[in-house]
Amino acid sequence: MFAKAYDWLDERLNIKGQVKEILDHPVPPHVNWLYCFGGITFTLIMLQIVTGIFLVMYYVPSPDHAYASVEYISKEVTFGKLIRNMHRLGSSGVVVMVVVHLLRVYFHGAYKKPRELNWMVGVFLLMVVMGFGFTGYLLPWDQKAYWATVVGTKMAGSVPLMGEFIIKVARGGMDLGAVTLTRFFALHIWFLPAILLGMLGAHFFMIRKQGISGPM
Amino acid sequence: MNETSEFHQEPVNGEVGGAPASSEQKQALISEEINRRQFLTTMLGLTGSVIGLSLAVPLTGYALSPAMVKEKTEFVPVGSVTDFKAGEPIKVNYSFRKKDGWVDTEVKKTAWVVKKDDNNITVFSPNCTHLGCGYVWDAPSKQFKCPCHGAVFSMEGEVVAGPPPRPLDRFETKVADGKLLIGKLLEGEG
Repeated sequence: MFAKAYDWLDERLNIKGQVKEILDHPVPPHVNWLYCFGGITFTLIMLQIVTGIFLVMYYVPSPDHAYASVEYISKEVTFGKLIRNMHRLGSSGVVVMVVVHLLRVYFHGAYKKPRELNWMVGVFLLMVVMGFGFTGYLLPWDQKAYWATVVGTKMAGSVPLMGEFIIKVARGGMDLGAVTLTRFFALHIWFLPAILLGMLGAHFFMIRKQGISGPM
Repeated sequence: MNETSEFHQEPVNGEVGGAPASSEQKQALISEEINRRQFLTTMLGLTGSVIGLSLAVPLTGYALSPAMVKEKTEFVPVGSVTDFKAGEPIKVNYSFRKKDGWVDTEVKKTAWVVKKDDNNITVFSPNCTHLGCGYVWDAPSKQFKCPCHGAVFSMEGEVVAGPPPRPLDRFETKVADGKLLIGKLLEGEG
């Protein structure tokens, strides 16, 4: 059945060649399970994107309703608790897998010429992932979220001379409040995903172009 | 798909003792490889389907969640039975708290209470059954009149004149501790 549908598509779009090129390309023989960490990270990121999109269906980024809407998701929405916790625990999973992936690349020396650029993109991606964690942590608007963000933004504010400016930009004012919540939300669901997907595109393009690094 | 990929051209374990494998043996090995490939493809598809399905079910439930909540109307008090006089319809304003998702709101509504005696009280929806305009009580003629398209209802809610398709809609009522309570809105029949 699938083969027939695929033939039908191919007859019109002539895609078999490209699909084979993308999905069916040979992998060097030394590749083992250690080379899965990047893929696992990407799988988790896709899960984060899907569950995140669904969470926005009921979440409100306003001090009046943020906490209540998260409670609503957890307690009243069908499977809400599951979806929310997939997103919450999945975020830790992404950070863990990104670090494991980084360590694997580091110890295999896979960052060396000609792959320095891809290493740099990878380090940038690590920072983007951290940004997701930091902005997402505030969104439930409970005590932990609030005070963690107070501390985090205050740390950024301890920079000499620029401190006050940085705090005002991060919090949207001197104090943590409604403006902080909406800007963290905007960063979390629009700005960072756009950056992340762009950088991932570059990351994947380079690994395809340069191939998997040789054995140790 | 019986083309050989790069892998099949590498030395295969089947060549025991360095002796070159016969073409038949090679053919057998290749078809075995293809079977293995098909097996892996199938397993990959199967695993993918299981993961996809175990995601699709909760996500669908999550998105359709509001449709699974049963609407239940609770009785709300609109006043004391003694507030109303027999034969004199009164428009009452009443309010109740309603859960709107994560927001707790106060809803303000009105209704017409028509009392014949203490055991015979009818409460009408304040909207004309024609197009939903608010009607008023015309004391001299003892009739409800709608200003929009000239509908006229009797004190019992029956259509006397004008375009309405059915009598006035009425609420379920009950009396508890001298209070008049209204519940579900029932469509006027006739």
